[in-house]
Amino acid sequence: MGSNAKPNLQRSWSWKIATYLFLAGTGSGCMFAGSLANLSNSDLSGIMRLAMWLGIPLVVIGVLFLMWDLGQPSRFMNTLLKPNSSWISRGSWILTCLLILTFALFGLWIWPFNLLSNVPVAVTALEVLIAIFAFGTMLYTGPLLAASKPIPFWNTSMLPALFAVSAIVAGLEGIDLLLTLNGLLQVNLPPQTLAIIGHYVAILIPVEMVLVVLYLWGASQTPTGRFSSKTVLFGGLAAQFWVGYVVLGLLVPLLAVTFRFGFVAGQTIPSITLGSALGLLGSFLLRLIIVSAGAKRPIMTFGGLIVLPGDM
Amino acid sequence: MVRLGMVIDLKKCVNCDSCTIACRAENATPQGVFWSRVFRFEVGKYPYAKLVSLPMACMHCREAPCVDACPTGATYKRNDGIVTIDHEKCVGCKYCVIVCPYGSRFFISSINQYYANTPLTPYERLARTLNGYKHHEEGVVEKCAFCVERIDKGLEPACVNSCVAYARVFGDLDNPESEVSRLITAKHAVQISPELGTDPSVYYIPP
Repeated sequence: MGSNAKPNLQRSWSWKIATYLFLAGTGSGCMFAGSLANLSNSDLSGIMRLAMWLGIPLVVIGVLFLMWDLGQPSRFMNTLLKPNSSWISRGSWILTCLLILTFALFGLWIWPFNLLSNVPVAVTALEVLIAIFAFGTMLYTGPLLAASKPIPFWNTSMLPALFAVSAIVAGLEGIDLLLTLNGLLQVNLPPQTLAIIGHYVAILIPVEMVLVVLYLWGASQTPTGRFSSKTVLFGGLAAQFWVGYVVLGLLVPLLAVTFRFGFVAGQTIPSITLGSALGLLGSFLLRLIIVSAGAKRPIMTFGGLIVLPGDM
Repeated sequence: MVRLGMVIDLKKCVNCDSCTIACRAENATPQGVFWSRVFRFEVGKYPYAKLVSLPMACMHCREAPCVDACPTGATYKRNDGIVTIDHEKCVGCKYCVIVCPYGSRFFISSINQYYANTPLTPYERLARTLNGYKHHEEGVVEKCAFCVERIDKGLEPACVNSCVAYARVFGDLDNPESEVSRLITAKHAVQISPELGTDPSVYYIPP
């Protein structure tokens, strides 16, 4: 192969893994944001409940996608065996702990276990632990990809930060979507709740934009990473990136949050619903684009270049 | 400690692919799966260009990224340095395929007969019943294991045994008196992509 041969995009992981990353990220972002809101302001305890109702199904469905991608899904429990060195194993433990903790919290809302909820220290401890493990779930998918040295597009320390911020934004947007159906869910929340969430979304979307720019710039420092970045910015993934992620997934939600201040919970506000739904779409596309654009660096040896097939 | 490894002399390699075929015959790998392959690439410019052939399989790295990445312990390193896979434990997550810089791992999504719309060949029939073909399993990752079954019987890997040009030498890299160690020193054999820190157990004598 000539020295100008292009790397192949990896095909080992595809949309199922991207969907898992999105659902687990959004679900855990939801729970993290809900836990923090509840711990910082008891008036917002309804958000915690809403976050659990949304976050747990998302994480569970995400895990189902992950299992779907496995060649031997019936051996799924084997993934818990090596947390000392494998990020997949660490992630399995984090997810398992998170689900056990959230189910325990659910139990406290159900009779007769709700009698235990009179012990505030235990409830607070549970909520703190949920926040910690939800944060771990948001974060671990970054190192999971970043640990792949042969794929320079993933092998960057920016990825965990980008995934974490994107997960919190997606989690808040998920809560937003449910809040606009507040009347249906009968969650008692103070009237300024939507404004508070909008405030954080308005701060975090620009942070995500900066992180994406830094991520793509950082990834472009190696020839193979540059190939991946070019594929995202100008190549086969450009439409998904510019239209789907940047315009629909970031700019429209950012504009939507600027219209919300002053609105109250309980109203169905089309701009919020639209902005949040598109934000979630953008969050999914971000992960799909990053997974799809990973390319293994060619082997350079004896003056030649060996381009590895995408499924190796 | 024993650390089994291989030296491949690219000056001797005649690009015949007998190692590819011997591996296939020994392990009866499914259609489209080649644990051992020969890559070919051009170096230099006309009129001095030449074709270089590079036989590659699993590098059995001392610092194998696949061993660390495997979440189940299915990929592990034996005491003699051979990196192998316990298919009973593999969940088919493909993380080892992702982290292997040498493209030496294969996810078996399906096992097909060699020739579509025709009956199994006599070799396939035999392999599926006698030669351990049944050990190939869909939904797991496979790779070269230096023919551990042969090594445990005191034999050399099939690719070494079949090399018509005697380009492959197999032995203990940790023994300074072994032929592989002497070749590495005398012929200045090199590893592929040593900068990755994987410390492969396969060395190449440059062409």
